[in-house]
Amino acid sequence: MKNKLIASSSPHIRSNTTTRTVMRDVLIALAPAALAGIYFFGFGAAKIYLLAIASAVVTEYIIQKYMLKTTVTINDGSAVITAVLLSMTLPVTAPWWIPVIGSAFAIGIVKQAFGGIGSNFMNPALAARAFMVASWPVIMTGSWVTPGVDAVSTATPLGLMKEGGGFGALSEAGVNLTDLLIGNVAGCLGETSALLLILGGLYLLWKGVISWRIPVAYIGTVGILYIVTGAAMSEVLVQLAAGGLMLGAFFMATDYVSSPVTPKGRIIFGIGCGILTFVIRKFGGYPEGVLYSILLMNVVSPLIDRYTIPKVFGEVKKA
Amino acid sequence: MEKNLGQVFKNGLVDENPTFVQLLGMCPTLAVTTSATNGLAMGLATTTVLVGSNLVISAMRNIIPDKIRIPAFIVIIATFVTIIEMFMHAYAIDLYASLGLFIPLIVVNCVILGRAESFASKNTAPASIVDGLGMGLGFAGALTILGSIRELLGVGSIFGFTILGGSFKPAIMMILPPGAFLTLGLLIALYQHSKIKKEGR
Amino acid sequence: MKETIKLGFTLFLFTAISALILAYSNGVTAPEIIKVEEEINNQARMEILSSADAFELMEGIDGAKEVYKGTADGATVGYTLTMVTSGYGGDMELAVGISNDGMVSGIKIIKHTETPGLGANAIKPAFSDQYQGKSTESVIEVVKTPPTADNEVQAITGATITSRAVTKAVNEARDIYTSALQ
Repeated sequence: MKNKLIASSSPHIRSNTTTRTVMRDVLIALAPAALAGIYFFGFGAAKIYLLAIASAVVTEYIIQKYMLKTTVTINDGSAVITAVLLSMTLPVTAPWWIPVIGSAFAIGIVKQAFGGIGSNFMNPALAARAFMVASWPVIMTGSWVTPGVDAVSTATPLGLMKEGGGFGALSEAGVNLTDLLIGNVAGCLGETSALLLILGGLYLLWKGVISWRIPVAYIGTVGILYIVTGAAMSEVLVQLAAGGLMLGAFFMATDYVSSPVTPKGRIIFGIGCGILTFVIRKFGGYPEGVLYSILLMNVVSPLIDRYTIPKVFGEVKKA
Repeated sequence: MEKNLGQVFKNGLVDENPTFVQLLGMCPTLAVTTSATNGLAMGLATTTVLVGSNLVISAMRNIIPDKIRIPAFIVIIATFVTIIEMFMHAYAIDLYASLGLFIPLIVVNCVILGRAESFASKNTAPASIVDGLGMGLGFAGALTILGSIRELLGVGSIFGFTILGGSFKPAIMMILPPGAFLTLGLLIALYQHSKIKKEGR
Repeated sequence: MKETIKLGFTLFLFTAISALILAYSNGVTAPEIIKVEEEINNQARMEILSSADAFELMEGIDGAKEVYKGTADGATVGYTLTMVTSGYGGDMELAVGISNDGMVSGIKIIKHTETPGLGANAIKPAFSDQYQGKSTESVIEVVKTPPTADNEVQAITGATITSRAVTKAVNEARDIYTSALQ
């Protein structure tokens, strides 16, 4: 019933791009950073990825097969992507049920309850993370460990700066920019390695899976705001490399369904995310603001689209 | 017009349930249902006001001039609410402390004015009492269910009795505002689902 | 015109009757409410200054919302100070009991809007009992690990801001005690 032919106006473009190929490319792009997470945080990280993926796929299967009684679409890979993205935002110390419940929430509530793929009003992985941060704040944000075998409990770089009163606290704790780029710092599984995330992002840009507008506008806005407010260049770079900014900007804000489709709209969306992230990091109670920035902009993206629709060629202005 | 009292009662309790079908009184529904006790207490306080105002309004429906019926209804409802608030404050201080802010809001609960306008002002006193009871208990039941689910998942207990103890880590969000919307949405979906299933048969 | 007056008069009758009923129930409940409120406040003060059996309001002390002198058999045994501090989710009101020997005898959070599961855990004894027995002579500090010094309290996990806000209020109460009451 849902798959009726849609007769759109010309030109009819044929391409081999399908949901599957797009999702495959996203998975390839995510792989380096995800693997780095396993490398740095060990077996516990791998377990979280596997549990999240299994839970997402099973949830999607059960809902589509037994509750909705429609075609099962677990083969398109979108549930797997959601699970991987979600795992990348989890701390390695999370108990086993955190990825399981998180994935089930992302797929069951945020995705399927709103109509399945293409109809979710927010990024499912991010919405699930928001749900879990609100539900189990201590597990989700209170227990970071340093990478490596002797996992010592510590704070994330952004956490250090928020609690310890600014940029100086970082060097005192022995965290430098190189560590941040490689991913040798405390944080969520997949967000620590800025370099590999950028690499993945560039792959997606090269493949044409995402447009440059959202990531560039997003990261650029955060950078410019820090420069304008008088941060030293070294601090600006740290702010860009730390936390979930790269992961969010390349992989989450660019989600097809929950971001604007017009070129101008995407720029506005990126700038909006950037301003919100900056404001939350600088003035808010949380050390990191990427999550809520993207979710808030997700909600207004239909509005952005509405006001940035390009004029139809040849349209006469209504009197 | 004589109405079947059993039907009137069931109408409020199930068929036209104020929360799941009419979606009236959403403010207290979402705000106070952080625990089963709060939900039940709010529901019962509302029921008391509803029965009282329905009774008085239906008894005086021939005296109240049509043109000023709304202000007259509001005065009657507000009087009942204020009395309940005073007595709660004096004799049930714990309940008053947790529901405090929302008691005066019963005045503007759409369920009450809605029933006054659409039922009590057109029906006899006995029928109106039954209608108030049905609607009120329907509302109280919905709030108690909502409160129980949220308390169970958000704290691990129902009516204060620990049910999920030990290794269960409560999802705090369920007793925060988003939990209210989430639970209510799912409950309404469930209600509609069972209704459609019944009618399809 | 005549109708308007008639309608107005009818509505007036409604409000007048309603006012009469309300006045009557107010008369019944008002003394009871005062008694209940007084009892609750007294109980709260007893909890944090258990050596006292009666309390009397003190006037003219700056910095605290309310200061009560606690007495036992007429002799002063300590003070309770109601402090207002800004927590994570808004203003918090807490009462601090300080006994005559210069020790914090207990604290009780009266009103708060902190996050359930995090800052709201401040009302639990695990956190608030830490202040009991702290000396008024040194500033109380918040630490994140189990305390090593006498003047340290351990912050609630994930709610450093709330822990600091409570500690700030206790420290302010300490200052008032040492400067104005001791």
